[in-house]
Amino acid sequence: MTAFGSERMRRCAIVAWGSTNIGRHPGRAPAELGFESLDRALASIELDAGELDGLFIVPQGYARAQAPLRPQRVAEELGLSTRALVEVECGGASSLLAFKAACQEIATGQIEVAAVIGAQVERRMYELGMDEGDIDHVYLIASMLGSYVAPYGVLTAVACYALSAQRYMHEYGISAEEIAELPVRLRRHAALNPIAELRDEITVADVLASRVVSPPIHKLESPPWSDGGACVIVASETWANGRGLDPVVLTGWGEAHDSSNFVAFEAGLTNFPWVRESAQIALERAGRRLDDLDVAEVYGAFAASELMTYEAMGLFEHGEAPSAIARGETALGGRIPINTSGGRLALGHPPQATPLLELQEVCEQLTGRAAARQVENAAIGLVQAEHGVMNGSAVAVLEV
Amino acid sequence: MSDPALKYVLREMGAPAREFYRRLEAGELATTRCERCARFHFPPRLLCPGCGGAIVWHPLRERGIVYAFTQQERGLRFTAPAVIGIVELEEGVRVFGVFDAEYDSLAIGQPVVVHMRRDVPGITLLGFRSVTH
Repeated sequence: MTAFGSERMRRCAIVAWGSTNIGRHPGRAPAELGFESLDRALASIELDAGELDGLFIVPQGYARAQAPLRPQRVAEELGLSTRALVEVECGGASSLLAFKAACQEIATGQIEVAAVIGAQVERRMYELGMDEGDIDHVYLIASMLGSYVAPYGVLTAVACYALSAQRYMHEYGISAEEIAELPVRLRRHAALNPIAELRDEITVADVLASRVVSPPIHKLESPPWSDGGACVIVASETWANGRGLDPVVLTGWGEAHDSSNFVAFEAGLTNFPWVRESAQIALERAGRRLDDLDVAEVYGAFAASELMTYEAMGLFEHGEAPSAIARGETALGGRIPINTSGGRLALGHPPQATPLLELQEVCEQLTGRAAARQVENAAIGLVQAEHGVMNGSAVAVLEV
Repeated sequence: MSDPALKYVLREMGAPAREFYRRLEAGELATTRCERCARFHFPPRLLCPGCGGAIVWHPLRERGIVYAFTQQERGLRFTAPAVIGIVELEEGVRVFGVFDAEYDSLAIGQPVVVHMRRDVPGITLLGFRSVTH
């Protein structure tokens, strides 16, 4: 079976990737960070932008009023004529779904090689001050939470993730200390990743002493609202082999979305069957099992939700991820290293670019370029991204 | 005149949401139920997401238990010390609203009654009040 389940499709692969440092890029436009990422990716395989025949972009302006990063504007700046111009928006999963769209156009033979770009610069939106247009945009963005949550003035997803974290602790008897262990572990991964935003060591006591953003979520259990850009270059396996490149092949794709907007009131707040379903579809198409994975990057927007993602995927029983991470099972050298990049909590989180950063990390691992955080002999990796409060999930299985 | 922060929320409401809030304004908490499989839905739907059956609006008993609660430090309204969250009604339906209680006084599983909050101009919302024994 091929990545999308049909025998008649071509195999596609990631042939290059690039990103900016994740953190603060004041005064720079998202497009600049996108182009910087693209340039790095192209330079790594000595490819001219002119050879790209598709552009797949994620819109910018997630929280601040900004002109969208339209594929046509990007094409104009690059001086690039293409046979595919696509913009994809689906919350946090956007850039992974843009990657999928690129792979599908390649798999069906529409194009040979394409760039997928995501970037975000919103870190200083409050410091820079907001005019009437920005405030109106905040009203618009808040409405994404839908007709039954937005009227209560809920402005970000944090409050909804907090409800989920509280249920998780209640249903499985998990302590605040056990959840606080995760960001401590992720910082150790980030310390080995030169592009990560938060690389200093922290302790469980530091996490629990940090500000309560939305109880029970502490500041250090939340991701920084980072600036950053990322890009992956996708091509047909045939094209990659013709260029003598060592491609990272997409062997399985899966996605599953609940029929809810943002919060799955009916399914509850701790199980997330879509995460399991998307992973199972992707693994089945790849002809692999969870046990086969050497490395994984999952979205994990908050500490508790990252632990629940491990469980929802089936890596651990429900309620058992905290003890597993405390035993080091997800650390470098552990049974299944997860979020070796540092994850959202330590690598940093520019949501429009995040899934591309996840792909980048797994590609570095699978090609032996992860330096101090290299997982030995890594050959099979998984990338997962979500939207809403994990009411939909997408998974890519990648192999060398 | 409605709260300006509601501009897009109201503009984007579909038919089920408009009906839900029309009924709340009239003092009735109701949602859709499947005529075929009798399943209650929340949010209300156009068709049953379980079996595709036709829906009928059905009033809900305005009693339930605390399912989850939190506070938000930044928001357009109901920021801390206000407590927001989810109540599970007796029919098993889970709804979002505002608690008339302090954060430290609440616990998952406590009984609550639902009432209509009319303090946001332009919309009637759900309030949850703890039941004293």
